[in-house]
Amino acid sequence: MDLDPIILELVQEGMIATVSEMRAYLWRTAYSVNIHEAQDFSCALLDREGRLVAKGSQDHFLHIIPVSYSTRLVIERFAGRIAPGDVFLHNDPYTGGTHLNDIAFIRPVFVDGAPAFFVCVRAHWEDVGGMAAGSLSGNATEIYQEGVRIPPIKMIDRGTVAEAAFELLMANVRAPQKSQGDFRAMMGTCEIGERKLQALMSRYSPGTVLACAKRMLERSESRMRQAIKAVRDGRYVYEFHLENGGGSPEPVRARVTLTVHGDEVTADFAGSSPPVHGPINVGPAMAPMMVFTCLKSLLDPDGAINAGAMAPIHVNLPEESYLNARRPAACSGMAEATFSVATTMLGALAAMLPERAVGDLKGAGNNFYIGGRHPETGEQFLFYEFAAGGSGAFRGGDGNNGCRTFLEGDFGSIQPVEVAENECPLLIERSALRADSGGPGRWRGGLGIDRRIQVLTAGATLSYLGDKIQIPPFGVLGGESSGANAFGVIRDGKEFDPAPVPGKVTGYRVISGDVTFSRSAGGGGYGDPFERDANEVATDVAYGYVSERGALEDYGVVVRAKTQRGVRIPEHWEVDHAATREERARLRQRRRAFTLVQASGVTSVGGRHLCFASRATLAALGVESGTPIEILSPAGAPLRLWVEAEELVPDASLAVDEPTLEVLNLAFGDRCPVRRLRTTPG
Amino acid sequence: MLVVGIDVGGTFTDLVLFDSASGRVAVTKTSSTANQADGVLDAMRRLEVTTSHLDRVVHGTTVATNAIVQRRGVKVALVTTRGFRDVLEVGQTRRRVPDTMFQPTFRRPEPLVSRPLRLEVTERTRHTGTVIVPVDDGELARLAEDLHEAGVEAVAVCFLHAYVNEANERHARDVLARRLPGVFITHSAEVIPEHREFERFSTTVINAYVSPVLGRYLTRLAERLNTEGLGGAMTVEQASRLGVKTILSGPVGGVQATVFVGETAGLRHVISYDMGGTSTDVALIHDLTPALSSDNIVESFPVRTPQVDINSVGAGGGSIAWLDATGGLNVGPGSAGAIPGPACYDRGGREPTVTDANLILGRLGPDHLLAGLVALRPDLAEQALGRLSARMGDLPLTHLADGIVRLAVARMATATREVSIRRGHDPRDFTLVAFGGAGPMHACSLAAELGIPRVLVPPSPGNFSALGLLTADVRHDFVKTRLALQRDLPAGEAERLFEELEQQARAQLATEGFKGERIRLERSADIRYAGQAWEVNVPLPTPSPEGPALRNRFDAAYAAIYGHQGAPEEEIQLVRLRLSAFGVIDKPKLATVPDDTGAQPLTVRSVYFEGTFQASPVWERGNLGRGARIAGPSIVEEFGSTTVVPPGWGGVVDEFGNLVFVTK
Repeated sequence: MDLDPIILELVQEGMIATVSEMRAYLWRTAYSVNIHEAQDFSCALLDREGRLVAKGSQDHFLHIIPVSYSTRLVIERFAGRIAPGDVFLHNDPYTGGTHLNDIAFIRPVFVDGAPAFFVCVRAHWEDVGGMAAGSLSGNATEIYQEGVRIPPIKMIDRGTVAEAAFELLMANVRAPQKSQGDFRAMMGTCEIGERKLQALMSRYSPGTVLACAKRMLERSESRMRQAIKAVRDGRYVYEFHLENGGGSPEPVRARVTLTVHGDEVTADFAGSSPPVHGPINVGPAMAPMMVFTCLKSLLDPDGAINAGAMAPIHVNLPEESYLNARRPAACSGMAEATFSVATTMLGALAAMLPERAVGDLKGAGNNFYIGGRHPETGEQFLFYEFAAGGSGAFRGGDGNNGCRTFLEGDFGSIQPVEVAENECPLLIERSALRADSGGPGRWRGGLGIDRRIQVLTAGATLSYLGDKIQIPPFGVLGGESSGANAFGVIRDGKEFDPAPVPGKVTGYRVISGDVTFSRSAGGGGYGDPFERDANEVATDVAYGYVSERGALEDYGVVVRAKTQRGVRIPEHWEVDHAATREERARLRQRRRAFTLVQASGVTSVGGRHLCFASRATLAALGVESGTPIEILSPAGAPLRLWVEAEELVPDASLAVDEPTLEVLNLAFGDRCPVRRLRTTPG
Repeated sequence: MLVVGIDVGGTFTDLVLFDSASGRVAVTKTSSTANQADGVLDAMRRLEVTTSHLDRVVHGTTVATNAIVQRRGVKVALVTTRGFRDVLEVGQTRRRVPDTMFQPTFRRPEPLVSRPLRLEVTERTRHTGTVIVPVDDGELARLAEDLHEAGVEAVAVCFLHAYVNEANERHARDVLARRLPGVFITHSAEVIPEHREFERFSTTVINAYVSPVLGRYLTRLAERLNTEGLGGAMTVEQASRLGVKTILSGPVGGVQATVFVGETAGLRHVISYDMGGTSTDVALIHDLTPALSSDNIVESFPVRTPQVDINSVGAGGGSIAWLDATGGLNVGPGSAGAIPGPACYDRGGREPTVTDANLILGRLGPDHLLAGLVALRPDLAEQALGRLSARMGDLPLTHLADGIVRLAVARMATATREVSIRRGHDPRDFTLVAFGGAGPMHACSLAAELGIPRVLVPPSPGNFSALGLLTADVRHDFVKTRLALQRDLPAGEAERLFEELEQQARAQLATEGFKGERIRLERSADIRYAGQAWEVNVPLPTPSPEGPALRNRFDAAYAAIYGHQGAPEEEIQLVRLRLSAFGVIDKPKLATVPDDTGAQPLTVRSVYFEGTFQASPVWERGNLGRGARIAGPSIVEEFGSTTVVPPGWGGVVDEFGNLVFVTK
């Protein structure tokens, strides 16, 4: 069919308007704070095969790309049994869900007795049952502890709610009243979507609208193929470790081999860790979602997002992997597992497109909950937030402070003090940027946030789920690591982390007067910090983004205050340029490069990827045996490995295995800069 | 009584004069000037108002908005609760700039107060209003010295929970005011006493940032009016204290004029549709009351003061048609503006625009003077569209031109639906009131797209907005935040709080010369079901209803927007009480037009509709009297605007000269 280019645009406008109206409706009518306040939901339009056709400008991949998996499953399982007015629910991570809290509502749109499209909305419910309030739990080891699992089910049959399923669902959530409100709102959202789309088809004819949908996919595909073609062919490898899988202290490895060939890209995750006995697992939809998001953002952030743009991108997941979770693996750590893919991709992309590389991100969900009974009302309260960190620096710009990054969607992640204190027995004491948390670099990473929340009632519990606490987000092209994430409790003036393994706590009983804290990581730096203009560093000091000590140690810049006045404006500070030159020269001399030699024996123990050096070499580097170090790949992103003392390795050498060379793109005998991990300020 | 309305826009300054004794209304237009006061005085001279005594000047100005857009406000310091100086920068961590979600190189705009000038004091009030840490005078004194040293020109005092108890905030404000003479000091509870600290702080900081700029401008303007014998003491105090309230007020004139015309034409529900050269503004007016919104963003900064809810979309006569990387056709938001303008203006523009497309379709006449200034060149329009068509497989020019117009209309339709959906209304229940240079040309097409059966085109649609300045009553909004479940609210408390607000309102209006019958007060409350975060505004009578009566009103208002209401066991929660206070002014009387005497079309032109060129009569609007009937396809031309009547539409001229079209 020869499609009129004008009609094509008009139909596309109509499809996007349909999705936008669905979004506006849900935002206004939902009950959960998480939906209308944090806007943690998305709407989408899919074709009869379950391919994503259109989304609104605010809808996020994290929700809508997996919706394709959900819809395909509905099409397959209910073949011949789908009727107008049906609505299917799905949240099962193993078959295309995210985590159990994200529930998808999928409604067919019929033409001539068969589904021609599906309208979908996926929203994060505050609670879906399970072992912990809010359902996501850092202690979960099986999915049964995380709430109600919904394989795709027909919840609404030709417009009639299936009472049995509905009652069963509501009996298993902690806030049934809210959930019923959200349920109604999501039902209404699907109805609006169907009505709008039917109107579009009766106007332009169903055949035309279907042809337009097909054409929209084709042109997005061709646009993405062009963008990939502009990148030189090659193979780019990167490897990253999550600090632990929740259930055990062993790190979890994500390894990607990115192959660009012509106008296609393949991301292969062979070499990644097996499923984790803990919550850090994801179903098969999430790694492809994040691979696409990273590629799309770096290659072509402006083009339309639909199944066509994804077509040239292939993802291979090992059968046995935490990225390919099977029953009964727990998936509460969806954010951490998914962001491990992001960090790994950013590492590989730094080698593929160094001029577009960005510093790494906080890379975890940072979900933070305080729950209990409100002493005044007697009702359950749940304070939930997931504070954003700093964004990564890039060539030409510093990162943003406390700001959603390009991988996270643009919804609020911290609660207004004046809302939280009205609803929960809490006193928020502080919400401030963290000095020195931005990764130093020629361009500095954005700063993370320090949130301090005093609990004013007895019997409340604290839960949180995060990572990158000991191994901070990396900088690129010589840029330094940012400040890491941190969580815990301050009691009697002393800070402690009640987590059995860092970053994962469920239901820790706090006492009245405890101050809980959540500190989000900054973004990694870009380029050598000694190349940052000393005057810019002085401005950072005046702004309190960088401390005087940070200026000296991280940037080699000697800054002095000209006055002791309270307002620290840039005019009050001056750089001692001579001293700065001297300091930078001195620090440069302390940089170390070692010769890479072949490691013998086991190089991977307890999830850790190892390298080896002599004690003298470790001393020169200032690190202890068994700790992680940073090997600066000329390719872009540094590789972090655990170094162990091994006297057989010659001094000033580092023994590594072959997979390490693949990441570094170097050979044995090459020299490579090595440094210790930048330690995190408080 | 002599009233002048001045509307300063990006391109033109419009001035309207109304003499209530004679009923005279006079209008003029001059080019806007860098110093807006020059344009204003120029326009006044043109209307020869030099000898008269002005009773009131209504001034629509973009001075405050421009100060933000161009970052030319004053040097502001923020004084806030210890631990929270970064709220202003971080907000709730959102990016706040549309269409940047996937940009790794996005940079969030710098806040209006840089971090060194965001200062903290030890103090704290709880959400209950209890002060748990009072402010310390010694600390404030040291702070004042620092602020003086830093040379700040304005201070925004923003403390947590000041919306419920402003004691700490006011005390700090008073101490700083005493110690910092000449510095503009504002505090959050006076600007917008609503909860949600980021939005309130941001609004207050903007107030500090723009008010001194606006104050200086108004003072200078008043002085020059006085020295030029234009008389009249001007009350500039209110605007200079709360300059934030003038932000986004630019397009409001058109909305007010629409209300006025709707009222005179006997319409209750209207949509104002203002399409100019660069953009289109639409607003929903239900029951002759423009919908308000407090959820506004200016240059990424929230502004919570209530504004008329206007949706703007980058589609105007000058919007450029272009192909994206996939070969898809787009219209706007890029605009050829006035210079170089559309290709057919022959001022050097080469890009094809919506105006060029309309010329090719015959909807604009080649010999017609657009805005009375430009003769149009169809050959240049054809060349411009021809270049585009060549890249689209030689799509026929008329088909392409028709497509460009339809795409622009589709985008405007989306914007219009958005404003109605936000309010839970169906646009089909409304009349579209079309104005601006390009509005009447697309009005019937837009109405058809939305299913709207009726369109009204007022006389002189190009100058329509300025009329609104003379017809709008003086308005002040007052708000009291009171978060409480209905069952926890003591009997009579809402009534008592409303009465307090009414006292404030009457006092304010009295200073502006309004009393007795000249004051109109409207009460409403923001209410939600317990657990929801967003509220519905419910109009309330006097005395304030309680118990089931209040509940029923809320349920009904909620259901009207969302189509469902909460279960009876769900509690409702009061969030805030609002009072809108109006000072009622004398309105100009619209002139009536004589009866039609059988006007004949000037000519017949070939105009493209529905896939073919159709012979369409062209009418001169000035010749059309009351009762004249126009059947589509037709074109109605007048100075500065062209009305397109497609087949299937027919219209009649009413007694005020409005063209009222309905679809068959």
